[in-house]
Amino acid sequence: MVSQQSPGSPVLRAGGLVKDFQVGSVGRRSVLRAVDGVDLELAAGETFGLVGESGSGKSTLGKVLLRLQTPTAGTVEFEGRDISRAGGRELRAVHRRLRMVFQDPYSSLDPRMSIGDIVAEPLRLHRVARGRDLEARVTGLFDQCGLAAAWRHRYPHELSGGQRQRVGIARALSLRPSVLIADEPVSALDVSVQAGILNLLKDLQADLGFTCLFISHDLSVVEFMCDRIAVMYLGRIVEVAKASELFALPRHPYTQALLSADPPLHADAAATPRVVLSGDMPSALDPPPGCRFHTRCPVAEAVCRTEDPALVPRAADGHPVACHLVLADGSGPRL
Amino acid sequence: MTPVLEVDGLSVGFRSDDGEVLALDDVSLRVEPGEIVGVVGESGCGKSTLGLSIMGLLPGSASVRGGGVRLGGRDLLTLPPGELRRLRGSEVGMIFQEPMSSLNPVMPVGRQIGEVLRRHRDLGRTAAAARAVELLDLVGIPDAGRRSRAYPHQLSGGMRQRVMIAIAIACEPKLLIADEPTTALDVTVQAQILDLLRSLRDRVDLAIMLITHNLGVIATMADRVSIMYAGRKVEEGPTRDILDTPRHPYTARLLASTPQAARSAAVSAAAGGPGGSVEAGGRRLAEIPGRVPTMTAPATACTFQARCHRDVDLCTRVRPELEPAGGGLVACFHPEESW
Amino acid sequence: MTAVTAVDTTTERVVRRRGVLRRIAGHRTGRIGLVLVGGVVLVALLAPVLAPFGPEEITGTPALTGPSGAHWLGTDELGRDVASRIIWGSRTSLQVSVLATLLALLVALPLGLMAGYFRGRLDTVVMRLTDTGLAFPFIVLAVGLTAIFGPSMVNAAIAIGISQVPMLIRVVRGEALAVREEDYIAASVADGAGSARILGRHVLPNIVNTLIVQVTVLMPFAIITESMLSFLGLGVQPPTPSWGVMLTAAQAYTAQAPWLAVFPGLAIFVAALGFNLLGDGARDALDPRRAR
Repeated sequence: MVSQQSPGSPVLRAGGLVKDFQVGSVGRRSVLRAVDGVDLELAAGETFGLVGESGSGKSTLGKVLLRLQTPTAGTVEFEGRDISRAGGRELRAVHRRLRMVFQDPYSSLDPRMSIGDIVAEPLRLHRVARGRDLEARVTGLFDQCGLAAAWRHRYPHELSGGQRQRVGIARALSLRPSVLIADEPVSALDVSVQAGILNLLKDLQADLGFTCLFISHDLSVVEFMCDRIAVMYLGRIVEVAKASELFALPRHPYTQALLSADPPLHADAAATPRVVLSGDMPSALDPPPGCRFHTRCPVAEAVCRTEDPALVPRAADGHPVACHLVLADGSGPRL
Repeated sequence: MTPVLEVDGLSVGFRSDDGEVLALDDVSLRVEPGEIVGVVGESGCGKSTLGLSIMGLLPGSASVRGGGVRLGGRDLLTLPPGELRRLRGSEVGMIFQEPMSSLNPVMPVGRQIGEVLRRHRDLGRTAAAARAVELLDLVGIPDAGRRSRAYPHQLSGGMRQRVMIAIAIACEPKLLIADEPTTALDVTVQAQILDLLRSLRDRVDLAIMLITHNLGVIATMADRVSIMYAGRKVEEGPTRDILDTPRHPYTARLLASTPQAARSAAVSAAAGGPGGSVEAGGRRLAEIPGRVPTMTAPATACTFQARCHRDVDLCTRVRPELEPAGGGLVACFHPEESW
Repeated sequence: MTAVTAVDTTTERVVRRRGVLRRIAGHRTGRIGLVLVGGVVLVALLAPVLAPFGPEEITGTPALTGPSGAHWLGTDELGRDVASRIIWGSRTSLQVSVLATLLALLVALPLGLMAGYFRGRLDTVVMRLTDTGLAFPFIVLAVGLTAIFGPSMVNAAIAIGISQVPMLIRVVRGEALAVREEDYIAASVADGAGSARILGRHVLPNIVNTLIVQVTVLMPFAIITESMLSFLGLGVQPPTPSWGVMLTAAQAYTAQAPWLAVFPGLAIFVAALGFNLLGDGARDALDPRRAR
């Protein structure tokens, strides 16, 4: 069952999305703005990458889009309906078609349940199948995700990390979702195991046609997986582009630094100049004024310290970049 | 020049519920002064055990089954515990993946560096404190004097790893063992730490044994690299050679399974070069079927044989030894030659 | 294109869901605990068959006679058979401990689970009540209850049970707090599961280990506390036998007839040890991660 939306129209949309957390003890409360005014649109069938470092707010954004958390402000639209405040029955219906694969294949599976039960759980909860039909569906999902059906009675601890993540994927796909949010699905896995999971996700997407929001800190993984990519920094999206465009011509200074920090394997790639940023990402409790990135930006100017750059195309043919210093021809500042 | 570190035929076993498991099987390794040697492998390949056994930090369930470790010409495995403790920290330092768990949470970081100096260098309290600030400055911590009074939780992950490095190099050891030093860090911070390690090598002629699963880190850092698989070293050589023309099938498949490989293959395909590991258009990564075997006894056959794309009878009967190939060594009867 | 490339066919031990008791029996200390606790339960059930004399029967043998062929464990200060009284007394001890533990669980489990899982105002209220409960002296509670309802075994069990509720709430709440942060809870919310199902199917099974340990601590505690209450006249009333009552009565005769204290004491010890070992075994055997 592929999404009923016509191809190209957004299945998942965020508008001015904000998520605040109260931190600190009573009397010394402060507000941590994890997601700060994010707009994004996922077109049906595409794989959209969300890349950023820890503290960039990418995981929180994923949880708010899935409505595991309620946004502080802004809207989330799923298949044309506003689900920002949905609850109860309505949210349950949304969760049939909007599913998630979690980062940690160890803590995301209930250690007390057999993996067959884990995969069957969504089917049971939504009364999609029962009895022999349920068995057959679970066997089919196991097969699709590269798990031996004979393992149905095993427990998560008997499986390797890669196998567990396959269980997580089977659980997410059991209800044939239209959108899959994958939050760092391979970051806990070994390289050769990661390859299997990434191939699997690609194959399944080709077969089932779901839309995918792929959240990762790993640029090369995102490049391999995604059609379009958004780069996040301190709760904001700083650049959105087609994957090929972003990697060929990164415009935002942060994107440039991020790309150059991802060590290349081969000599031909080592020729690219390395940009090493100084310092750490500032705390979201006390974000800097102006451009969020100016404290670490090697080319920051006076305007960057006072004026907050909008995420807009800076040239006629350019993709949206939140940087004052992008040149008129659309190319980014040289670091 | 005598090597800083010589590991010779080291075998280490762990007691487990299912009998003994061999974590290292006849592993040899040399690190020359000022050299950065990478040790690469996936979980369970024995790379961390190698680092711990050099430091004499193996857990109680482990025991050395054979071989030797020589540090600056002295045999570590026969050294009395007191001597070994003295050596640790003064001649060889070690940093780990998670700096937070290696630092004392209730002691200012400057004092923690000072402790090492007072223990190994016999410095007084004030001298040690002053030297600690110098060291923090050396590892690139801004405002070192003030930061030396900070507690670990007040520092960022990158800063904490810098503190760990300062502690490890406080007594000017010849060798630093770095076990996944940047795995817990963000890429931009990882770049900073790698830069720091490289500059320390250049400035104080520090040899570094860099244990990691990250091939990209190896590519930018190591002069030479050893590839570990199931407790054995399967290939060794200059980093560029290994990454560009891997000879062991495991190394080749491991490299091909990285998304970076897909990227460079796409680049070279666009340039009319060989497509390599990527299926035309399909953009799939190479996978390695099966899983790493658990070794309970020294290998009598090739440990990778069951997962290898070649099906050769010899590999199931005889254990391949490391033989010279190209610029390095490879333990395979049928090394990849198609380069 | 389907991907079944990475199916690996490694055969591993498959842990099957065997019966709980069989799994405990497969565990070394669990087996000992099972035998001891099973023994006590069996003795209590079969008391009319096993005991040579009635619990309150004055046998005609002189008081304070040492162990002999007719009276294996001797006679007490009224000439009653000690062995028979211990056998009958096991019923009292088991009843009190089971009743007290069930009561404590019944109150503490739902409150602790909900406080830990839902947090918020409910949590605050429950925790403040718990603090108050912990500060309330147990003896005052027991005396109060007896003053109102009169001394009896059931009232003793209620007092013991209620006294353990605050501690148990804290433990359950702490565990629920930890479990609710696990990703599989979030995954379950995303699966569309309601709170009741999450609590019952995910949170509860994952804190069962702790609960079992708590129960095996509570049971012997109740046995011992019952004897203390009986000593104070707040629990089981003589001549009904209970290990505590017997121990108390023996106090006056420690020099002349030490067996009067030794054997009931031994009974308490064996029962308490049995529950503790059973707890260890159950904790290991019930955890799929530790299943061997």
